[in-house]
Amino acid sequence: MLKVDHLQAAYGKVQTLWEVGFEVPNGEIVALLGANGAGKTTTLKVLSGLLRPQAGSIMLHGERIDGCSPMEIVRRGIIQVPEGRALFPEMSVIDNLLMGAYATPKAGRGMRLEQIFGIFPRVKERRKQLAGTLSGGEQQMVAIGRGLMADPKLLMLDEPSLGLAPLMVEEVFGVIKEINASGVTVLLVEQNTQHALSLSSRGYVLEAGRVVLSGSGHELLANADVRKAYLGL
Amino acid sequence: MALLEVSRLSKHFGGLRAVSGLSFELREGEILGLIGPNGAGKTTVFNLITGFIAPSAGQVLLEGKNLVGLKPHAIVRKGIARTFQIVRPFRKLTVLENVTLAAFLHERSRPKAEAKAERLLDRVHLSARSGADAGDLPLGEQKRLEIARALATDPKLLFLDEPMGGINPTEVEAACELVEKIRQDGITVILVEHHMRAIMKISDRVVVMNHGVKIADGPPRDVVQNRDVVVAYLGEGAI
Repeated sequence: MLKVDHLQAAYGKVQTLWEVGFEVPNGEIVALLGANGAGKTTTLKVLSGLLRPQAGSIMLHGERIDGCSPMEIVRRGIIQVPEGRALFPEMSVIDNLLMGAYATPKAGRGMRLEQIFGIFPRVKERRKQLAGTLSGGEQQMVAIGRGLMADPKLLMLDEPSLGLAPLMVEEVFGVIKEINASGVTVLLVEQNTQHALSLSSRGYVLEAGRVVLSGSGHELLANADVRKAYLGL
Repeated sequence: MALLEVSRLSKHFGGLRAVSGLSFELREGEILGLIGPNGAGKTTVFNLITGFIAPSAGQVLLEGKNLVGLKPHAIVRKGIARTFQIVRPFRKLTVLENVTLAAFLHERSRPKAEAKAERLLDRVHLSARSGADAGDLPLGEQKRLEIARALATDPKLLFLDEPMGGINPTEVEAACELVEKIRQDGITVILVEHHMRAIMKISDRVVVMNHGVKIADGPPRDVVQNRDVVVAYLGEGAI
């Protein structure tokens, strides 16, 4: 579905991505792992069109999309759920969700909203509340729901477990599995390496802007370097 | 006498009891972990004690003197500094400028404030980034920048709101060492954190909140075996 090759990117003069390449097959969950500053979020920003790559290519279903505007990329079905959730705190939950459908045709919005309420009953209960008054876990659910409102083919989740209590982390990972089972391909950036890898068919490890290791979720979980560097075992 | 004494602290938002009759003490030199489910009221407690919002009822005493009613800028002068869960650096200022600004609280000369900021950036391992725009740092580094900025106000008491968000389990070890060093410098620490391994490792004592009330208070080993805490927060088999 998605194929990324030799990607390079920089913020001003500071080069963050040096050599990033990976594939996301249709229907799977793929994890991007790595220490702070390894380039995970930057990679997502480049995929979303928020940051222009300096070199390399991004192919979606065989068509190059690097250089497309964020709007165009959203229309093609690549949706990013940002780290830290980035909700509109002074807007209601339902308005936040509807913002996610901004680039999609009006028909179908109501149905997707019902699907999202089906996945997140608590979001439905709180739909009239201001998003800023929700707890962290509920906000994360709204952020994922907002991403789903854009009718994604590829949903990119940047640290969905950030700031969540242990029980809530379980719940959010359960939801990711459910979303994937409904046919949405997922690219997952996570610090919760254990959880992310046990959910993913493939994982790629980034170090200082380069992919240094890749393998199936199980292979990486068993890999001695991964265990030492990212699981703290 | 306790360094900080919180008694019957309450905050209601309309009909919602965000914090309800919360009492706890903080002894000098202690590291206290504050944990609980999302929405339990932990960040509200931070906001109440640091003056960002006013309590509906209750008392907060720092070294026996009441803090309720003081504004955040007055409370930081009394020696309580904090970080924010959603980081709030000045994104277009450099890392060094962010910390220097905070150092101006007690230091009028720019060279001296900068020298202090440089020392603190070294302490949080961010010296190499001092010239970068704060907004360009990855989240884990922005969290350390927040700690340096708080330390630049010379606190007696430091409130850390999820300092370990956005870092991986191996990096958590280094973060634990940093908190331990801050304590060795004589600063008392209270931290909200969901990384249970970190909480277990560095806290002398843990307070657990759920639905705005305290449900447990004790040494970490006892608290994680508490039935209410397992049901409300940890889940079965989390430890």
